[in-house]
Amino acid sequence: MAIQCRLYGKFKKLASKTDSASGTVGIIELQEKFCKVEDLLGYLDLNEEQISHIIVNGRYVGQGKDLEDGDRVAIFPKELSLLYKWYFD
Amino acid sequence: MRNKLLRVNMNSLTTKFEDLPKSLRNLGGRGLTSSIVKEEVPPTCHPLRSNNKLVFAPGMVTGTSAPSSGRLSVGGKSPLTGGIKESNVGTNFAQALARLGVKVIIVEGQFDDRYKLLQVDSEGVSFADATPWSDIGLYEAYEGLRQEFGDQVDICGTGIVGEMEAANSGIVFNDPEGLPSRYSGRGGLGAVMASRGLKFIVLDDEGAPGVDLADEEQFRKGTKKLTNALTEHDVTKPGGTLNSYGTDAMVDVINEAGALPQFNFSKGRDDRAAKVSGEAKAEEIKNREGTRPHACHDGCVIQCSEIWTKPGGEDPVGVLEYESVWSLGPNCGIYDLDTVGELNRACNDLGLDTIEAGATIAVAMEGGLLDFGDGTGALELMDEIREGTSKGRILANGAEFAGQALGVTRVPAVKGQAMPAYDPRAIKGMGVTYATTPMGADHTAGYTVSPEILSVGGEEDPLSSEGKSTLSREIQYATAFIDSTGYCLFTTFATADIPKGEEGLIESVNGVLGTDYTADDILEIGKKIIEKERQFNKEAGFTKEDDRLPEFMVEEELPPHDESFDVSVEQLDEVFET
Ligand code: SF4
Repeated sequence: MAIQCRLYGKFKKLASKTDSASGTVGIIELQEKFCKVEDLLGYLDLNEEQISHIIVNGRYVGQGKDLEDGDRVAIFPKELSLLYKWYFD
Repeated sequence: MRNKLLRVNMNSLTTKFEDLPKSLRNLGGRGLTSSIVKEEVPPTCHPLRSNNKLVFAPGMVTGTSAPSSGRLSVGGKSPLTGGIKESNVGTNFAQALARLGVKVIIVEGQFDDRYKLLQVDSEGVSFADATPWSDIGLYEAYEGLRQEFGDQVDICGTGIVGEMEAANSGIVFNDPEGLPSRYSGRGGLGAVMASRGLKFIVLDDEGAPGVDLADEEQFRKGTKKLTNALTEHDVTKPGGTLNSYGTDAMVDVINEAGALPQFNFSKGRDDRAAKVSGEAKAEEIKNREGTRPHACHDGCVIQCSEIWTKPGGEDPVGVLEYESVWSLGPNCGIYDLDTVGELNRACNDLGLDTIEAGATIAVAMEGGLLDFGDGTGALELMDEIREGTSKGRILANGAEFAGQALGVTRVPAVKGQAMPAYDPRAIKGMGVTYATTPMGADHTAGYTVSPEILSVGGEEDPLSSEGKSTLSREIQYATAFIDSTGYCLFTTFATADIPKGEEGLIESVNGVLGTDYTADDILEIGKKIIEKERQFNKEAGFTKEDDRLPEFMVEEELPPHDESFDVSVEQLDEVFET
């Protein structure tokens, strides 16, 4: 089983194919083993500054989240950010 | 003529300007409409008979140069919910009304020989016959009205479904191009307007006195800080999320979060949803040479709006908001922007609220009137509404009414009003807001999505029911304040994250009103408004049993998270028992 990485916005360009259902989301199927989200980001050469939010299996996560085979990882770039930070100040 | 209350009596076709009572002077928008409805409308009255009133109020700072502040509230007793209603819209009409020195219009009584049009300009107020623009679609009507009264006028009106006095009829305002695409959509206030015998209000603010500033320096200082925050923040800045993709940017995020209701709230995620996302739409608008970004009123610096057209740039519709795209699209199993665009055009033309209309079509699909995904069939239903067939009239009364007619028990509504685009089983705090706001299911009343899905840290788990009462209550109070200021709710993306922006927002309010509010006053002001609204509903016969979600959401799990709505009734009751 692989990790399915779903790339939105300008990150789409990192993928060589798009998903079959919509034809608009960039898809990378990764066979490699990644321990955490941050390892995956390193592999994709993405840094925190460029990212708005990451959703793994439908849950909003931080970069320290452990990854497992079969995970669905959606990565949204800064220009698709919709954030309120103040609740956690 | 400044700070006036304009009372319009439709029984006698007379109007009179009154001084705004002292107790109402520092209010605006929702604070003003809800206070007046509470004060003047008997809570048990029939919403479509003469005792109901329709109240229009621009926000506290609307009509000034404050950024993104062209918002207006419309209030009355709702024929959809049977409770109090405030429905908020962004339009130049709001600014024109404020500049004309009118803080509030109260329309009362009923004119039996339909329909009249009310004209307000700096010379005064008059009535005209509205028959030439009645019983036709609103695109044609608004074009005709602008030909008659000039391109510079601002218009609000109610459509064919309002004339039917159907419960899903909104009040429609023009966008800067004159398209009937900006909506006080929710709660059936279009029927309240039509049942007064009033079809349109036409404003011309040429030569208007403008809005008084109690403390100009304070106002300038405040608006500068706010503008800086709006132009800095990733969500609100030029080229930021809202500016580039509009509200529809939510589709992908909420779908990935498993909370985008699809096939009448049967599942929270479907990979086809990306076909109707903000990204896909922005690209298509570019291809068609439509307009994006665009502002719903002059002076918005965020500019989340757009003009969607047919292929080739023909036949502009206006904006396709996230809520509309979702309700007329994925919630009906439709994943095609052109179909969604045409359904939205039909809603604008008929005067239907898009959220309720999409929810109703999805219920009709579940009830077997047509198949999920049948866009052509959905458009045919719009024709039935236009023709006023029995089926059309049932559908024009909203999801709950249609559900009863078709024997559908899975109707996603609270207090008779259909839910918007966030499934409460996957975003629990949103369910708490839907259940407890006096408005019926309404996402804008207390947008918990932000901390639950969109925050950086994600400390609020959207699937957990813990702590959601306090979260929803505080956001509901803060929202009632923002809805009163005239600022667009989207300014809060920036003010929430940038303290100077919030400071500026409050200073600008103080600059207009001469008040000395601080951030600490916001929740208290909002609380007072919601208390009035809840009191109205109580006297109208609502009990805490009305603060509940539909049974099927408690019993049925929503994939992919396979969660039901498990916030306890005690937690729901705790929201306003403080
Ligand atoms: S941000 Fe959008 S909805 Fe708000 S005032 Fe501006 S254009 Fe209108």
